[in-house]
Amino acid sequence: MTDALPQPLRTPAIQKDYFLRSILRELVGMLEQTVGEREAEAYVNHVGISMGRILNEDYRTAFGSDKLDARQVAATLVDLKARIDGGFSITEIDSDKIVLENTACPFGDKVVGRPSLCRMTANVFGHITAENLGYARVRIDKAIARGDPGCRVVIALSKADETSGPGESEFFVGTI
Amino acid sequence: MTDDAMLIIDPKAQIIRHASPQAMDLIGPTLRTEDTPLGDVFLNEGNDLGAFLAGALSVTDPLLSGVTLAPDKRTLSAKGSRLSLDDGSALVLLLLEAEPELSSRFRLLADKIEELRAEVIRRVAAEKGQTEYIDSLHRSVSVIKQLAELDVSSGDYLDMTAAVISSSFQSHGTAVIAENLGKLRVLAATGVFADIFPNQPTLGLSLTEFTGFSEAQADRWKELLVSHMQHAGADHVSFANALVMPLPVGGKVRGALICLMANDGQGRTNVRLESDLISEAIGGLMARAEIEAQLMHAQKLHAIGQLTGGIAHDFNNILAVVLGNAELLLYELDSIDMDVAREIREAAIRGATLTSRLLSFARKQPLQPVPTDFNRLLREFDPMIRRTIKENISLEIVSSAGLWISQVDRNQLENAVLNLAVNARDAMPSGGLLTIETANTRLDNEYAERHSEVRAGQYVMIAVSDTGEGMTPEVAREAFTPFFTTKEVGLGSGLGLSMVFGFVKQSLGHVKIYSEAGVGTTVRMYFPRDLTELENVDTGDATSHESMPPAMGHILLVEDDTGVLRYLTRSLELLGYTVDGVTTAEKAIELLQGQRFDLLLSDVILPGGKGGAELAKVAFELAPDMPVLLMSGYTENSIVHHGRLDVGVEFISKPFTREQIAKRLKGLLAR
Repeated sequence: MTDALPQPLRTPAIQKDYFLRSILRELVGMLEQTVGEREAEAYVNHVGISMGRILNEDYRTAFGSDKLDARQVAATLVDLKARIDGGFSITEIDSDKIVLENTACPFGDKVVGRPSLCRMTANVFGHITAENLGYARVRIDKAIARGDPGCRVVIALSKADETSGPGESEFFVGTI
Repeated sequence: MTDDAMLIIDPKAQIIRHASPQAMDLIGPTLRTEDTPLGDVFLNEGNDLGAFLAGALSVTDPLLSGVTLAPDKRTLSAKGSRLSLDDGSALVLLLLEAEPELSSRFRLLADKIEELRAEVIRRVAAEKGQTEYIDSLHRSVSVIKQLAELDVSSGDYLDMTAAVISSSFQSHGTAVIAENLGKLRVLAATGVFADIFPNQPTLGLSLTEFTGFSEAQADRWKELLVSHMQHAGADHVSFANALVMPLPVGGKVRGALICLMANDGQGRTNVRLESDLISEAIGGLMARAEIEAQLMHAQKLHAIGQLTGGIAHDFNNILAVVLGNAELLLYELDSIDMDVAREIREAAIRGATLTSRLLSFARKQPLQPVPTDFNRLLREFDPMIRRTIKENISLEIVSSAGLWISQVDRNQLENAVLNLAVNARDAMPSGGLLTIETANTRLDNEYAERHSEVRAGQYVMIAVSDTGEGMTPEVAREAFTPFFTTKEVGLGSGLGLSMVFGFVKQSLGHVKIYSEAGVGTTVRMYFPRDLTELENVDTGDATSHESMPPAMGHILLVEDDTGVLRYLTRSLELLGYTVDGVTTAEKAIELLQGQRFDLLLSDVILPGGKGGAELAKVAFELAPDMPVLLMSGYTENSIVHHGRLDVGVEFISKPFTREQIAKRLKGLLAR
């Protein structure tokens, strides 16, 4: 019976990953339209923190360490993105900051027009960094989601003299 | 400070440090202004709340989530933000909303959509149900229409009914079961039942057993019926999808319809409705058939009665001549062979008895009803009954106490009882028990509806029962038909029950035969209760046995039959009277205007414009003191209204013996 069914002439683009990304894009778009971008970001913040918590545990286990150092943290951030088809690389790393650049968003072209999804990266990066290095202040200078050709993420490792500025999120050790 | 419902939480201490008034309004009395334990206010299943607060504490950006209140399980929207303190520690600022406005709208919208969806589903289902209902009604109406067009007078109307039902329900077997002689019988069958029950078998189940169940036990009577059907031959038939419906006839269940469905009425959600409507229609059809059959039977008897009455009238005049002349022969010619003349007279008397019975059946026997106590009449009549029956038959008379009075012609009632006793005797050649019982009874509207010519009301019942051979249904149906007899030739006239029938009907009563072959027969006669005040109820006939009177007087005799006129003239003259005989009322009036007569004796039916009754009226005007005696072999409305003589009218039935006429004349002339 199956033999008799018609086959498409070309293989369609749909794959599991493509399918899930499309769903995520639609869900976030719906959320932004429903509650507004700021509130949608607050939801994504929560999800990002939760994801960061899970990934941090994974990488600590993977590194066999209770707490990662700065280089391990940088490696973790690059690796986890690479694993989900991100194109992040470290452009700077020192005791004050880790700077990463990205050429390919894990959400692919589905991220364009969905800036709240950037909160996922900020929160995952910020949470992992803060949990291991005690503090993180994350700023996304460029974002594919906002139409930039690539992303640039700066993670400051020390507190600023003043409170964080616009576009910056501070992360602290969250264990109660 | 703020219009928001706000809490300041110390996640590490699990304490709500501060609550705004709006938060207290929102959450309720479990929340205090300060230092309320977190667990008193929120649920923390799976540490969701803990993780959320920890997350909120770890970042300067707000986090949004839902929290659940402990007291009433309400879910609130919560936005948690880190609140950094000067000492380096941090708390969580939690803003609560009963429901974010847009979410609320969407939720309401979703609820509304769900409600609408449910309503649409409900309406679609209702519409479907309504369509099916209408379809069912259409089908039912179509079936009822087809049933209504059936000719119930045809013998096979139930077969046609079964065929219509079979076609409508697409049944592969339909059977109509109804009462017949107290037992249920398959009266019509189609499909598989037609092969199994070709000869209308009984099911060995009485209607009483069948209908003894209450409505709540409907399944049990269905099971009982099905088991008897299987026992009667349908043991290989599957009744799993059988539709079994009761057939109500005249408001009572009198049978059932069994319809073997291809499936359990699948696709017919209103099978119950359809079956109820159709079973009612079939019940109505059966009731109509019964009434039509009764009506036809009654019409047949009426037609025979008309014929009988006409024959009897002519026959009586013939007999009158035979009888009169035979008596004259006996009187005048002592020398000839008297046996011959006596035989003529005996034959004439037998003929007169025969016509009397015919007239009774034809309901044209003039009755002289008087208030009668049936119990007393039976007591006095008891010896006569005992003489009639044989020694091997026991007679039991069961008299009901407080029996009502009825207006009946006593002689005719005695004749009726005697006729029934004779029939009972003949039905018990080897002996048995003859029971005559009386009772007060009421025939209700339902009974009256099912029996033509019966009026609902109070009746005095007299029943004659035997333990004899009983009758088959066919015999019972024809029992009242004149000349119908099951007795051997010469042993029965076939007029006994016809006389009973005619007499009871003429007395505005009702008669019913209950018989079962091998068990016995009961004939019940019902006479209307007499509700007038009774001063003097007397059953005595006061028959006088006076000898022939030495007669004197001038009689005007009016009789159109010249044969009868001649013999009567001679008979009256032989009795000592002077007789002037004429053949018309007009001639009689002429004579009455010219001279005085002591008595007018006139036939009822006379040629020309005036009959006996009109003549009597004229005579009363011309000679008020002159008694008038009317005679006829046939009575009509001129003197008989509803079978009863008009008050003040004297009447004698033809033929009569010389002794009978002599007594009447003497009595009237002596006044």
